[in-house]
Amino acid sequence: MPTTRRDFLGAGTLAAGLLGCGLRPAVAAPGDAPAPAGAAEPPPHRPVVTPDGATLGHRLVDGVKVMHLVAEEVDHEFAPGLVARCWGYNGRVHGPTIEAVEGDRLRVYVTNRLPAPTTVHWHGLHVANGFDGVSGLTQPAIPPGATFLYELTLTQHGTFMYHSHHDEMVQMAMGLMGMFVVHPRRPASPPPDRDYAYLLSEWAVDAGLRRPDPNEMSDFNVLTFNGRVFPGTTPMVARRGERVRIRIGNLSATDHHPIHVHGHSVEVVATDGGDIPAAGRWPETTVLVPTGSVRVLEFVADHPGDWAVHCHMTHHTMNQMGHGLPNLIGTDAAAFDAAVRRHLAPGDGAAAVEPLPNAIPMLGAVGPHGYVHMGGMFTILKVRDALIGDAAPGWYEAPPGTTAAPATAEALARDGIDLRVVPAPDRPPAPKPAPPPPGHGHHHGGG
Amino acid sequence: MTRRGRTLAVASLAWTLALAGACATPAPSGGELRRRALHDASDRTGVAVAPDAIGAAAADALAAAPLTDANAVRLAVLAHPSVRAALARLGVTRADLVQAGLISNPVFAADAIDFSGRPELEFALAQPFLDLFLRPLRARVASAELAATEAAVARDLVHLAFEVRRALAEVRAADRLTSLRRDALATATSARELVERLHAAGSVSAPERTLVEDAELRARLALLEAEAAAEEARETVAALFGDARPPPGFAVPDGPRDELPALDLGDVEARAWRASLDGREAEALLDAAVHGRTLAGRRAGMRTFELGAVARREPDATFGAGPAVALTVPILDHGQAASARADAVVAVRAAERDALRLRVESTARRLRGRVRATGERAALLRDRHLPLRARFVRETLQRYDAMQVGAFDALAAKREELEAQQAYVATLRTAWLARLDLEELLAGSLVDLAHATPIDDRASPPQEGD
Repeated sequence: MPTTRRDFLGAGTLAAGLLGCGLRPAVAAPGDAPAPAGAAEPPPHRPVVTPDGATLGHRLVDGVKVMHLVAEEVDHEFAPGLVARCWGYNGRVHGPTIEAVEGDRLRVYVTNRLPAPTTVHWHGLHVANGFDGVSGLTQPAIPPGATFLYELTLTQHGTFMYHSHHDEMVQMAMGLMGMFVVHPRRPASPPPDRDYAYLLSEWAVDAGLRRPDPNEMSDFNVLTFNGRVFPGTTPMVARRGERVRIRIGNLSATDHHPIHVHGHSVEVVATDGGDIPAAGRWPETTVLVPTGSVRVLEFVADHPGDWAVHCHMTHHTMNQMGHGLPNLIGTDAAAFDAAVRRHLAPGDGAAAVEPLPNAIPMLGAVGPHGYVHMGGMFTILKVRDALIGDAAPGWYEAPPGTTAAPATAEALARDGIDLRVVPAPDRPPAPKPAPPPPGHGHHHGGG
Repeated sequence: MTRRGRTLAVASLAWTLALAGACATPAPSGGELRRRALHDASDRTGVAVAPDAIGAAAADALAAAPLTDANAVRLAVLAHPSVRAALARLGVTRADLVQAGLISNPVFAADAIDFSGRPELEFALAQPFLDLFLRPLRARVASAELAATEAAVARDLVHLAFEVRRALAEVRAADRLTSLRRDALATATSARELVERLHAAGSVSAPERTLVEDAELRARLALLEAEAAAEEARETVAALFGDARPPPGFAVPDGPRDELPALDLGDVEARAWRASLDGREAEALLDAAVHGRTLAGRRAGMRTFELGAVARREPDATFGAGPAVALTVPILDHGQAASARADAVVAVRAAERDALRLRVESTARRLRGRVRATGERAALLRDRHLPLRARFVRETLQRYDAMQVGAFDALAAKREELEAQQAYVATLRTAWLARLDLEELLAGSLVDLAHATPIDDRASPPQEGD
């Protein structure tokens, strides 16, 4: 029997990817140059980390930070086993995070190496109207082969985004977007110990295909954190007690994403519209990030463990999910499968069939306790008492007695659990049945 | 009768008999004619049949042997009553030829008239001589008609051989179609079983289940149709074997039927006409008409020409004898109508021959086109379409394994592959029939395209929306 998505045997090959991801630090991509040595002003901020992403480099020219974005086709890996030819910036999807400081002047050159015109819109930033990037309205589109210059003076701080504003449906569906972080020049509070940036997006890449379908309007099947799906997502890490900030932007085509953080309470401290005063915050475990919006969460990582962080739309934690499949619950799926295979597979179903190329399992990979039945917008926050550098540690080893395990007979007996009885909310779990409540047996017509 | 009269009478009779004997037309024997017809047909079909093998015993022996294409043809030739009828027609025409070589018998006449007890007696013996003079022309007419019959009999044998081959091709196609529809039913049954499980689990609506059940029923109907067609095709073969019919459900010889062997399609019009036994029959009939026209001209209204002798005894007992002659005096009917009719018959047969040639040539062109078209289509279906459908099934299975399509989509892919195979079998059948039709034409037998199987690839059962 070949490896198929159907029987999840693909998990074996992807487990290595998961472990690898777990050990891979978030680093700047080659070619994204750091600020040159001897720059005039050291950064008064803690650099943001974009898991699975990079930060755009710059050079200082007469006090102006000069950056260069190149829009081009990119072969992008969503997870091991799934690669598609997308559109990105500077050789990656999504584009590198632009990071600057409030008050900076930026000159951003945008070179178009795409086969179509494009622009860049600085989402949430207060810029001169002519640099707002809306093709036809505020500027002509950048034709293929041309380089346009955007001059930005950053009068705000916060978390923003950038994306194409020309033929948006197509160009954003192809991946032309990135995060834009502006640190405050005079922070009101100490910077967080960990500062992560995520950009949410959604794609239509049918299993076996190698090109996103920008014509898809609603049925997206690859939903990404920073262009990656689980098990291809790199975990976040934090030492116990550290303050963690997670900046989440959403440039999905149509979907909002309720991002749920396990094991912790979080507060939304800012949006792309600005900071939220402390008095206006409230604790949450799930934060809805509407499309076209940014939510910045902060919390103290005070519970060690491997904590899931994911979109709570259940279909958004699936990879390349097929639709129109019959609902097999309540049937013998194996017999069902055998009947189909008998007719279709060579040798009356006995012969193997090559697995579909460029497709990944709908659900995750092998974890420390079995298969992790999550995909898509799913990652892990690894909180440890101690870390070696910023590298992600291995799987969390829970203290004895703190992991769900098969109930022992002693425990069952101790707590009076009779496995032959299904406890009902309206009667005690004792084996002796309770007397019927008053009115029991009466039938109320029309009810 | 005087001695002189008696001498004259005897001499006349002897002369007549001598002429009759000397002028007897030589005709081939019946066995020779059968041998020639079978040999001609064998040359044209490639299947040799010994003339002396025709009969029930030989047919039974052949029927007991493994059935091959050649044996099937031999069996039909040995056992089918139409062959005996065809060969008997040779006897009829041969007898006509012999008859044409004979001259009429002499006519003896006697009169006795009583004159008051004194009878008058008269005796006459006459020999019709018109036949004698026209006998060579009559023989030519009969020879030509015999040649026409020989051509027609050979053509009938050739036609029978190709009827057998066509019938075998029909059985093979029907068997393959039946097998494919059996597979299609198995696929439809699996789909029905699956949908019933899903319906029992509460995951499929009743109308969806009904549609799948109905699809299975239609697959079953299509199989029944194919099985009936296969049975009928076998009956066609069996009927060609006459009394040596094989048992029901007999197996036909198998072989590499997908690869159509090369067939020379060059200059088929001329080759078909040159080989045409129908054409040879028409030419012979025209030849007979031409001789018939000459015969009519020679006759020139003359219906009677007799020579003989007459002897009379008068009532007074005197006796006299002398020669007698009787002949038509063609002053009113000097044969103009008969000649005109003979001319017309010649014209009719010449025109019929020309029309036949046009039909043969046109049929050759049409069959050549049909052979090319069906051959190309069969090759495209076999070499491209079927591999594509098989590939699609494999790819669908990959997508099924990847949970991109469901079981019913997967089974639909298989059903479509089976439908494609059925369409291929239908096209292959028409390709084989077209080839056999053209081979028959080139072997000398004109195929009636009005009754030939039309090209029709629709071998699949009607689907929803059809």
